[in-house]
Amino acid sequence: MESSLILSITTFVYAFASVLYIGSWTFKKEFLAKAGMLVLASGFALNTAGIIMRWIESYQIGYGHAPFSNMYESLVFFSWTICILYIFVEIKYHERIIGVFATPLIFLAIAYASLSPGIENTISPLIPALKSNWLIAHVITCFLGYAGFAVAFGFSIMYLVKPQKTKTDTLLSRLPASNIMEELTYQMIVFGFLFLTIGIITGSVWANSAWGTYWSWDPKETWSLITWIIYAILLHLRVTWGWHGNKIAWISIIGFLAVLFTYFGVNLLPGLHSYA
Amino acid sequence: MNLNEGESADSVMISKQKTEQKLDFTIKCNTFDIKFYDTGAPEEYKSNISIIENEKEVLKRDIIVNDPLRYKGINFFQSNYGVSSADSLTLEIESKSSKMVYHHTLKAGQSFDLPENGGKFTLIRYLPQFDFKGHNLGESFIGKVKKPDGKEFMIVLPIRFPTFDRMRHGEFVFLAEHYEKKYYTGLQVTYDPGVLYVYAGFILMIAGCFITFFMSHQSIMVEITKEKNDELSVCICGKANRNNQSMKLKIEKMAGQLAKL
Repeated sequence: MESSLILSITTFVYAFASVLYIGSWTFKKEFLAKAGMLVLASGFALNTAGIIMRWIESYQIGYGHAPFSNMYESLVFFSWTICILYIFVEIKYHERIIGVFATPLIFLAIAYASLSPGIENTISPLIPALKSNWLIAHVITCFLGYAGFAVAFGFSIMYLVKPQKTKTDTLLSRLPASNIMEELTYQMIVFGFLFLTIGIITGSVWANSAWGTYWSWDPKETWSLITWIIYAILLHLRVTWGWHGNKIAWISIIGFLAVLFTYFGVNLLPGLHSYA
Repeated sequence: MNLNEGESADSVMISKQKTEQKLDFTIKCNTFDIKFYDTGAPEEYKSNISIIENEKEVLKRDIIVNDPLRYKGINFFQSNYGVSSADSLTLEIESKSSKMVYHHTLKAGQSFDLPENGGKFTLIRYLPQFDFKGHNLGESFIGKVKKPDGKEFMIVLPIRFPTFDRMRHGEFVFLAEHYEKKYYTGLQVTYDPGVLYVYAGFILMIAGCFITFFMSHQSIMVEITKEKNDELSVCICGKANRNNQSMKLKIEKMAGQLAKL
């Protein structure tokens, strides 16, 4: 089980990256953030290697399936998607401080996978219902969607804690300009919404080709629809009604709570998705 | 629809209306198999199906979960399974008096003479559940013994509790040793000529999202005016039919870049 070891190391690398970003923000040292980016990128490389090795190991054991089949694997992949999205945003917008709120999320997802005793990290065989190539398309698109919402959540928190009018140099006033964070929240939500839409559609096409029904009101399906509707309302309010600022930030936070419930909460309820 | 192994059907029940719908062909379940992993988790549910038209087999293949059969616009999906009956049961019979152990294999409805002049044993039927004083004993075989003096009594042989018959304290103890299971396969049958339209709708939905988010109409106006003291003043404004918030940011960014020049 070398992949589990690599993924455990990844957890600590991500933790170190978070510390560097937070340090750079608190002590006003730009080079710490640059180092944070390098550490984060190497964590990302390890994370990728871990996922690929796990995939290979599953073939060696003889089960042979993509590593998206249980809670551990999905959390590791969740970290991966948030990480790639955040790296993209940092490169595109050159705002290093935003890592302060995004990197801890990357770390938390993988730390929960590696350290929580309730989460089994062994490679288990795939149940018949999941044996389909649609699994890969469905999981990747859904998790890109979740990652978009997670990063948007980080930005919304930053937006809300930043004081609107201060002249003194405080910790919170050093966060990026409000209008940039607002725009980024919006961009991330659009990204997440598009992928969640595609994720729900691929799931529906898969269900139809495997069971002959598009939608069966399983708890995860219902909650993904609730999440989708919350973000659809947010986008309508902003794009056509011109809502902005705190109101949008709060809806984004509520939306992310719905994402978390869709992801974790519904596992407590029985249903088609109760494996992950 | 549920089909026992070896049986065939030419109609399906419509689940909501409770009406029967005739098919223009016959579907037969040849075999049903479950495979398990070493961990005990199920690996595969597989029904071997034949399609029969005009008393000729036109198609024979396996249906597994995620790989349905489509024939003449009708889809058959593997959806559940169960044990319909058990075929032949091998009994172990212990005689209390002589301590001898005998074995006998028989099918439901068959009888045989018990050794040591113990009478006649008849295997009545297999039951998927058996209720004993309010407890569900699960899969069980029911048999009866007719003694030489004409007395009859019932024998219950639950598979999960092999020593159940000892509690009867009879002259013989009957144990269900081994039996052949016969499965039925549960197939979900759909007729859905609209799939293409639904999928076209899905594609339009995704395309629609792209268009609304990334292709809204935007116009930017630049006005250059000559001030009295020969200075030029540049004014830029923008308008978008959607998402004016992002437009505002874009214009501010442009103004900032212009100011630097």
